[in-house]
Amino acid sequence: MLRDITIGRYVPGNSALHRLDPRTKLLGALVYSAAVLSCSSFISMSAAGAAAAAAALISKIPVSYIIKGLKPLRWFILFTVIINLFCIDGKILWHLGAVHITYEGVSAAALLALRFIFFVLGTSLLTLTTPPIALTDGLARLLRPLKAVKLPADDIAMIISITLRFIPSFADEAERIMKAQKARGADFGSGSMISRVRSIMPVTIPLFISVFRRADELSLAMDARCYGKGVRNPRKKFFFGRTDAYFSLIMIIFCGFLAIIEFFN
Amino acid sequence: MIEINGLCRSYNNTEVLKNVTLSFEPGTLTAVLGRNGSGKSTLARHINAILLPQRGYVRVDRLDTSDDSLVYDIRERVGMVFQNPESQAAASIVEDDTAFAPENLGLDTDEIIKRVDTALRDAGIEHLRKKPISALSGGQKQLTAVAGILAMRPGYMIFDEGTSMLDPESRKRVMDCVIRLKNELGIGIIWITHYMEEAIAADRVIIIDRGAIKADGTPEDVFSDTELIADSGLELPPSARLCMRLIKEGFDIPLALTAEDCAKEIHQLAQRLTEEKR
Ligand SMILES: Nc1ncnc2c1ncn2[C@@H]1O[C@H](COP(=O)(O)OP(=O)(O)OP(=O)(O)O)[C@@H](O)[C@H]1O
Ligand SMILES: [Mg+2]
Repeated sequence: MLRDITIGRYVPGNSALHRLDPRTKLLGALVYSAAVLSCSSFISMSAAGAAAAAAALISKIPVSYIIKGLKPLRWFILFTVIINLFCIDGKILWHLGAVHITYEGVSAAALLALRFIFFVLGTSLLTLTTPPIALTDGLARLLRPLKAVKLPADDIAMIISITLRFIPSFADEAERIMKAQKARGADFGSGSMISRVRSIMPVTIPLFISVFRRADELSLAMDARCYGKGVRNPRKKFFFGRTDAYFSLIMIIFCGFLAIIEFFN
Repeated sequence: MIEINGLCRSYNNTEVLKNVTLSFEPGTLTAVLGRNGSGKSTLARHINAILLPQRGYVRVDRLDTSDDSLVYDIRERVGMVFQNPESQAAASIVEDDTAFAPENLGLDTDEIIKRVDTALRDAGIEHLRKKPISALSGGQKQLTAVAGILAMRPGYMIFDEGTSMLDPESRKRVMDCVIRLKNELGIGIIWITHYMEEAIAADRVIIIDRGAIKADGTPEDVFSDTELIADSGLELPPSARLCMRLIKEGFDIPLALTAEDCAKEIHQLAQRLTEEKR
C-alpha cells in the first residue's frame, strides 16, 4: 500500500513532458501548486483538474499508476474532510443533536480534498517525468541567483531533490519492516485506535535507523565521487526549446483563465 | 603510490587505528582482512580523505590528505566502492549515474561522454546503460558503482566489502571484473573483506586486528601462519584447513588455497603413497 506512493518516483519515458527542460517543469509545478491552493470555486478547481488530467495523459504514464499513488493518502484526506464537514457554520443541511453538516461545510471539505489531490498530482507528475539528478541540476540553476546573497544554492537544490527521492525509499522500507513484523505476528490492521498506534511504534524506530543509515551511506558515496568540488557541469544540457515555450504559454493562459474565473466569483 | 605513515585514530578514547604504517602500489591487488570492528573501514576512509589523520600522514601520489585544497584531487585518484548496492546510486539511470562523478569534476561535455562510454565498457555493463538502476540485480548495481568510479579515471580503487551482500555468482562476476581492471588498466586495488576465500586471488594480503597490522605478505605466506589467523578471528578457507590438518598428521603436502589446487595436491599425495606401498 505504502509502496504505491508516487511522489519522488521517476518513471523513465520519452513523452513531451519527459523531454521538457527540468526548469520549465519545476516552475510549472510551482505555479500549478500556487494556482490550486488559491482556487476557491468549483469551476476553477475543475479547470485545474482538467489541466492535471491533460498533463497525466501527455506523460504516457499509466493513469492507474498515478491514481494508485493517491491511495495511501486517503485517510489523511478523509480526516481533513471530516473536520471541515462538521466544523463550518452556515446553512444547515442535516443535523443530529449538536452535530450538524452545513452547505458551506460540504463545499469547503470538497474543495479542500480536491486541492490536496491536485497538489499531490502536480508534484507527482514533476518527479515521475524528471530524473532526480536533472531535478537537482535544474533546481540548482534556478536557485543560482541566491548565491549572490551567499546562500548555498547547490546544497539547497540537493537537499530538496534528495528529500523527494527519499519519500519512496522511506515508503518501501516501512513496508519491508511491516512485513517482517507481520511475519513475527504483529497485527497492524485491527484493534482499537490505541493498539494500532502502539503496533506502529516497533516499525517507526527501525524505519528511522535504516533510513538514516541509507542517507549516511549515500552521502559517503557522493563524497567519494567528488560531489561538492565546485560547479557541476551536467552532461545533458538544459535547453529551453519550442515545447518549453508552448508549455509556458499554456501555463500563462491557464493562470489567466483561473484568475478571470476567480475574479467573477 | 599510497603511503600511510604512523596513522592513528581514536573515537572517545578508544584507539581504532594504532600507528599504522603501510604502502600500496598501483597495479597490485591487496586484500585487507580483519574481523568486524578491526578498523578496516576506518583505514580505508583515511585513504580517500573522508577521514583525516589525527596523527601521522596519508599521501596519495605524494598528495597529503590533510591539505584541504587537495581533497578532490585525492578522491579523483582513489575511488571507493561501498558495501550496500542499494545506497550508492546518485542517479536513476545507469549512464546518468556513471556521468555523476565527471559532472562533479566540471569536465567538458565531450570529455564526460567519452568517459562514460569507456567506463561502462571497462566495467562490462555497456548493455545496461539505459536501464533504471532499481531494475538491476545486486551484482549489476555494484558493477554500476564500479563504472561510476572508473569515470574518474582513478589510479586506485578501494572496495569496502564490496561483494559481501552479493550471491556467490555475482560476487565472482564483480571479482573477475576487478582483476581485469588491475591487469588491463593497472589500477591498484585495495580489497577489504572478512572472507579469506576472496583473498586467495590477491597479490598481497594484509591482516589488521584491533587497529594494528598483524601480517603483510603473499597469500601463501600469510595463510600458513595458522596461529596468527586464528588469533585475528579469521578462518582459513576449507581447502586450506584440510591441508593444514593433513600437514599436522605428518603428510607431506603444501598449503593449497583453492579447491582445485587442493584436489590436485591430494591426488598427487595419494599417488605417491600407493607407489611407496608397492
Ligand atoms: N564514527 C564513529 N564513532 C565512534 N566509533 C566508531 C566510529 N566509526 C567506527 N567506530 C568504531 O571503530 C571500530 C572500527 O570500525 P570499522 O568500521 O573501521 O571496522 P571494520 O573493520 O570496518 O568492521 P566491519 O567488518 O564491521 O565493517 C569499531 O569498534 C567501531 O565501533
Ligand atoms: Mg567496515
